[in-house]
Amino acid sequence: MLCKMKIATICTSLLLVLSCHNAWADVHQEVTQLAHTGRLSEALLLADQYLASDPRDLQMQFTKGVIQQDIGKMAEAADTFRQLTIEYPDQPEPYNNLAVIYASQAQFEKARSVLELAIQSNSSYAIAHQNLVEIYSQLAMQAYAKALQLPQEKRSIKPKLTLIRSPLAASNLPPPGLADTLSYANPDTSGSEMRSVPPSDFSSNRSIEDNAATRPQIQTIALDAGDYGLPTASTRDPEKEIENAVLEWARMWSARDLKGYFAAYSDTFVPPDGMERKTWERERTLRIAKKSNITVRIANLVIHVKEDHGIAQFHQDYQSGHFTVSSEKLLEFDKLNQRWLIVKEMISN
Amino acid sequence: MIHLTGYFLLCLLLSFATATSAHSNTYPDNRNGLQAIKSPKNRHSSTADVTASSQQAEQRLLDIYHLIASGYSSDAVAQAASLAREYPNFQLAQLVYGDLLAAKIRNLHSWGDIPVEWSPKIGHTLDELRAEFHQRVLAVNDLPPPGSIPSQFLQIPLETRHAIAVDASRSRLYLFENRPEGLVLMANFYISVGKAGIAKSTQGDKRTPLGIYFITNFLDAASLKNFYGSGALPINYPNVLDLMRGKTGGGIWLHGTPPSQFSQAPQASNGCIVMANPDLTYLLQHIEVGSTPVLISPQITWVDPSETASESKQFDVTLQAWHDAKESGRLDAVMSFYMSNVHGIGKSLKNWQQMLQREISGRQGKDLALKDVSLLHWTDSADTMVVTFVEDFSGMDVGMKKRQFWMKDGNQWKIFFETAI
Repeated sequence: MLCKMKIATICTSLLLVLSCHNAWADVHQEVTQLAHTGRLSEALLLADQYLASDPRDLQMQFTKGVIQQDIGKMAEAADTFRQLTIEYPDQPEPYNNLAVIYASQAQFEKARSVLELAIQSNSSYAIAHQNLVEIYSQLAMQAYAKALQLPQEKRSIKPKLTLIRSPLAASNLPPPGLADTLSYANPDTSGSEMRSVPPSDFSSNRSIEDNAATRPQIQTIALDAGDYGLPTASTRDPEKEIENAVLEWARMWSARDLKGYFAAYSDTFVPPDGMERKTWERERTLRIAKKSNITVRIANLVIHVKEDHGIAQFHQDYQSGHFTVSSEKLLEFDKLNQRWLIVKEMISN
Repeated sequence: MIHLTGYFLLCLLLSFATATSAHSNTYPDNRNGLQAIKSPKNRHSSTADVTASSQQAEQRLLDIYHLIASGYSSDAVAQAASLAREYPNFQLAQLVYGDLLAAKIRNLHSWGDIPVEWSPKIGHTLDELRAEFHQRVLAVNDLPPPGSIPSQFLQIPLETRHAIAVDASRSRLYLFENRPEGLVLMANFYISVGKAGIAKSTQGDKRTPLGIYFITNFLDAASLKNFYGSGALPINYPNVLDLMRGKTGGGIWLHGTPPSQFSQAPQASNGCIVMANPDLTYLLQHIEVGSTPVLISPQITWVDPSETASESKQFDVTLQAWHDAKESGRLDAVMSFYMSNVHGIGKSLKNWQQMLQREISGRQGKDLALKDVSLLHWTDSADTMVVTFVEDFSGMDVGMKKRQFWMKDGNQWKIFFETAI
């Protein structure tokens, strides 16, 4: 008797679940059907109705966004997709569609940032994309070297690509390799617009000195300059050395390598707000070690150096999980025992 | 992703008397270096295959920039990739390819956006590439109106089948074919001049001469060092006017490039005119040693042939007067056309007289005809005319080819040099 009841309960529950699922499938199908036949307002209405009872349904929200976009309600569609990127940050599709809308509004920089997030949302694609970026960089260097007729070493180029250890993403977190990698910085593009290049407008008056002075120094993916027979950073160029010191410091911070991070600071480092060195170290340890991932990006790096003293100013984007903060930073360096070490660190907004 | 916001995003000394060189049978005969070729062998037809020159590569390069400007960046990358692959030593192609690849990963800040840390190493190379690009664009955008010719080409007889004009301001060489309907522009290429620019005057000054010259010789690749590429065409610097002015130096050639380079900076040579190897090869197939004039001008004034018709006619009158006087044997009248011994060039009046006397009596009263008259008008600090013709005595099989150099002396044109060629 009891067994029969259990079976009956099970069957009923199953039926219930199945019918619910069928109901779910029915509504989704109906909405899609309506949209396909061009009855977009009806489709939208039905979608909203459904979402009233189940507002977090990914599929339905997504379909709603697509319909809004088809109708031409761009602002609403953007909101829908934006909401989805918050609720489901690991789905690439909402990012993509948000980017499409931005692009249709000629907001190309926003579109680019969002598409980058789309790629980052899937860790395997993120790695592939990062590797692709590395390859493009190598190819560009090769082409430039040929253009300038620079001697190319016969040994093969060694790009720094990341291997995927497992075909199945174990967690939603990006794998360690990615979090520790310094992401590619976006130099300041304010004020620049897409310009067409009609040949008659071309001006040859710009000298290379002009270019160096007016453009911000871009952080590029680190390449082994030795591959091209070029002098490596350690020889002769103090600006380059300080630049490398800044990048190394940010790298250690991102990698949460406390030993490496503190090694970037001189013994004579004066912590901010008059803190004691030990207190400052303790605070930094807590702040860094506690995080599961940190990404630090450097942009608009400007370096001034005179003999054994240098100042680096840059834009810093700090991200950990969903927490992001941007600031204008200043690092003062002293050259001690052939190494550039930080003696002062400030926010210079 | 392509970030293209903000992108706007490139003769050593040789006596021209010695003209011994090994050459294949496909090239013009070249015994004394000054003999005009009468019968063209193994020539291309006059509907020339210009694709054999560098113009195709240049056009493809400019097309890539047009694609970028029109927003077709993926097409641009694909085309740049294939152009760089087909012309690996075309530095501008590699540069645009590098830029397009870099644009896939970051915003570009300048044309030729090479890494900052390379700057100390590359010296002026990027500047030179930029200059070359600028000059190419300038010339392509400023092609002479169809049917127009350099103002210096007053008259060129059909027997002179080709003519060359170099415009230093455009870093460009223009090749004309002489057809019954007139001079027709058949090709134009980017060229480089001397490191120190133009207006050569002394040996070693690294300048390209200005004036009217003739191709005296041709040298094919087999007899030359790699440095000269696919061949060389020496010209007769210093010409008579240069010698009169005391100019020194020599060994000015039109030649190709070493294998590592497709083309060079606008000012790159020791005075020679350098061009891409396919262009030099093209010239080798379309000129005649001795008769092809080479005009080198700081900046060419392009005119419709009708604009210089009256100038040409006026000089014809003078030339005719000289000819009439000579034909009629009136020595004094003929003599009035000659200048005495200008700066050691030419002859003294006495010597001109002797020469003319000999010619007149040698002709024994037979009729004298002037044929195939060429008038090339070069004006700088002096007004000069380079006149070439064939003097035909009736009854002779072959006339004598002569070249005269006239200069305007006050209101009168006078001959300061004359020679058989």
